[in-house]
Amino acid sequence: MASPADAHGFAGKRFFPATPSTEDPAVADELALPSVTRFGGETAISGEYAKRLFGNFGVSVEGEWVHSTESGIVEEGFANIETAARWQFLTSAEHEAIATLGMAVEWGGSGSEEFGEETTVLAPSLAFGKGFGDLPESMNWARPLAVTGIIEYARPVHSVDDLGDPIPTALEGGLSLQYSLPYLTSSVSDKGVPGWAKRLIPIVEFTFDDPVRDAGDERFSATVRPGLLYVGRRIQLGAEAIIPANNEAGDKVGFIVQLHFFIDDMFPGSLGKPLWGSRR
Amino acid sequence: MGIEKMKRKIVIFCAIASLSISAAYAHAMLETASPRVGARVASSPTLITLSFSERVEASLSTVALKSGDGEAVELSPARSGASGHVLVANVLRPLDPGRYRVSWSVLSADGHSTSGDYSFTIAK
Repeated sequence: MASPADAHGFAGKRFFPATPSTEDPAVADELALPSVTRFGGETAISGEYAKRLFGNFGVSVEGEWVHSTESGIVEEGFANIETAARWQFLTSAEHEAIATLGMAVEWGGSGSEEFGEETTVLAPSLAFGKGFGDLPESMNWARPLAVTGIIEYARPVHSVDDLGDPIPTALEGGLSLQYSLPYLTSSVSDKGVPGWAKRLIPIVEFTFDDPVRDAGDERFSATVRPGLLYVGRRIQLGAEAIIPANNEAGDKVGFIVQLHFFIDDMFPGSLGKPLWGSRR
Repeated sequence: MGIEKMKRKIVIFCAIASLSISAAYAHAMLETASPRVGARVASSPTLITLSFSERVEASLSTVALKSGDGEAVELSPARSGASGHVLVANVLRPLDPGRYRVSWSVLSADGHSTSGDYSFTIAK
């Protein structure tokens, strides 16, 4: 019998959903397709497939198609392909906590000339998730809350491009604050919430991009992303507004919508289980 | 590929994908309970009834009950209820007023295990 900390984003009775704008902390068999982002004169359509090799270790591959009118002319093409390996080294059922180390590689030159840098970028990362279900019952209002976050250090292999312009090294990441109605109604208090509402998770994400070296003209930028997730049987739907948090992030509100498939629930006996070892 | 063409493909994809949306998790999640999660009830329940989003294997699932001071309360072994989604356990003696915690651990038909707990109160 598998342990309670089982598959896509569970730590004890806490379910950490896939977060549309920032990498969630769970290693899982999942497919995010499509993620559609409209922000700052760009429309991006991306897909990511993640596969567990072992119960707590997985790899992923991500591609993105971009349509841009940002510079006044229409440009279209593919961004560089990104791959990642992730190790979920901590899963605490008692404290509803998950932590994951990752290494992403954006493969230089794998995308279109307009959108793919020639140099490869390496990005080690640390992600975490923490639910507040272990708070005392006197703080029941806070127990459905959870936070997740990730910080990445994205460093290019070459610090200048073919034209001699600097390619910045950046700290990138984000945080999410979630209020889980599934958790509220199954573990804290069910006051007759309709069934469909028991699957909703209101969420606010914060993202940032801070060029820390060879920044050139680039500056710290940040966004705030309030939204809503619907967690279905085998899929999850998510939608968020993208609100610039500083001048560098622009002045127009955008959006992201994402359809997410839980492969481990769709194909529990084949594609949805780790290649080696037991599933958690 | 033009953006209109890409949009059409996405709409078709989403329409197909949405057909797979169902009103439950493939992992068995607690949907309703009696006594209700967090409820204050007037008298001792005779049954603990847990309804899940998926079919559960009753023989590989457990339901336990503890009083507010942590003392275990004897229940009958969990069994299937009105459907394969429902687990039922009898409360074998009348409960005193106070706070109680129900703990459950289930194995769903697709082999995923989940667990949880919640409290209810019997009024004085």
